Order: sequence, then C-alpha cells, then structure tokens
Amino acid sequence: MILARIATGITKHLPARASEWALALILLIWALNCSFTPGYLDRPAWQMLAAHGSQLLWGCAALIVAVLRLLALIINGTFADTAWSRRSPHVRAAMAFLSCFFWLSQALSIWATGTTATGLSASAVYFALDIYNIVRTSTDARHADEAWKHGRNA
Amino acid sequence: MDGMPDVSSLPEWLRAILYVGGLLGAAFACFVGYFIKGKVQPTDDLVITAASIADTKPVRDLVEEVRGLGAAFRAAASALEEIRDIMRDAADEAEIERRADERAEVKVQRILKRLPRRG
Repeated sequence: MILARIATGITKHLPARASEWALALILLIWALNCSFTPGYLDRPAWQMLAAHGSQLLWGCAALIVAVLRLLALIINGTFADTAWSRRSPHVRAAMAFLSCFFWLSQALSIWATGTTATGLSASAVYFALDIYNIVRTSTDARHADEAWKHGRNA
Repeated sequence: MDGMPDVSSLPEWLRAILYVGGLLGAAFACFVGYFIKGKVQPTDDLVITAASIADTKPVRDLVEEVRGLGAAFRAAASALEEIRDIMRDAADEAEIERRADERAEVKVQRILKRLPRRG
C-alpha cells in the first residue's frame, strides 16, 4: 500500500522535478563510486579533490547529500498533504545548494587538471542546473511557509 | 605520481575566486527563490493551494460557520411552520365564531318577527 502510494506520488511529481531526481541520482552514483571503488580519487581528473580530502570523506559527504535529497523528494512528492512535507522543500533547497558544492568541485578539479573536456562540461551544466533548482525549491519553500502561516495544517 | 596532470595549471587565486563566486551564486539563487520569486503577491493568495485550499484554517472555519448557519435556518423554518399552524387555527376559530354570530342573528330576526306589533 505504502509502496503504491510512493510510486504514485513520485510519478505524479516527476515531470516537475525531473532535473532534481536526475541530479540526485547522478550524485548518488558518483558517491557510491567514490566510496567503494578503490583508488577512485587517484584518477587524474580528481587530483584536486584528492588534495583537499580523502576518498572516504568525499564519498560519505556526497552520499549523505544524495540520500537526503532523494528522501526529501520522495516525502515532498508523496506525502505533500501531511506534516512531513512541512520542511521537505527546505531540505530540497539545502541539498541542491550542497550539491552545487560537489558539481563546482568536480568541474574545477577537471578544469585544473586539464583531463577531460566532457567531464568538465557535464559538471558545469549540473552546477548550472542545480542553481536553477535552488531558485525553484526556494520558491516552493517560501510557498510552504506561507501556506503554513495562513493556517494550513494548523 | 608520474604522468599525473599538474593541479596547479589553474592558478590558486582563480580557483578560489571561482569557488567562492560559484557558492555565492548558489546562495544568491536561494535568496532570489525565497525572497523575490516566492513572495506571495496580494492577488496571489491562491498560491497556497499547493495542497488543497480546503485544508486551510479559514476555509475550515467557514465550513463550520456555514454548518451552524444551516442549523439556525432549519430551526427558523420549523418555527415559521408552527406560526403558520397557529394562524390557521385562529382563522378557523374566527370562521366558526362568524357562523355562530350569523346563526344567532337569524334566530333573533325570527323571534322579532313573531313578536306582536304595537299600535
């Protein structure tokens, strides 16, 4: 029952939040790669990242952000009319902001090491897309606050 | 590591500027979304229909008030019905009284006709 509700909720909101879902999954996959692939940050493209933190640190930080972002998307999409959704737009905005840090770090690392042009363009576009997502999620957060202030669920 | 790219190919100061600039841009996006685009305009009250307007407190209060109004209206209709019954009874009684008066008058006329006339 709850699985059906989650599936319905995600499907219903997917068109409006496709970029958030995509970026959360990309970050999750990168975090899993970083956490579980031995010597991942020894690769040329990630030399700048390796210079600023261990592989475990980058991997765990990215994993936490990606998982929280996915959870916020599930809650906000599925339980929109419950108290659970009160802060989920804020969490989505905060996670989009934190994701920007990873995209920016990746883009700068790839640029600084002059390794792959494709990786640079991808990370830079992810960064730009998450800036757009920050604007949208912050707007959602404000609307959630306004709705709360005007008595919804009060 | 041999063969690894030189990380310093991007000057440190430029990297710092890009980092800080990028994160400030993200923070500015947050500000724009929350305080500028998210601001509810006076005519945009319906923006709060993100979930359902029926869930809002004013609407719930209004529904309660309308329910109370409905109960009061039913009580008033019932009282009006009672008043109408009382008026119908009063009209019936008046009609009975009028007919009794008529009958009495006919009787009096009859008695007067039977009385011997003077002179």
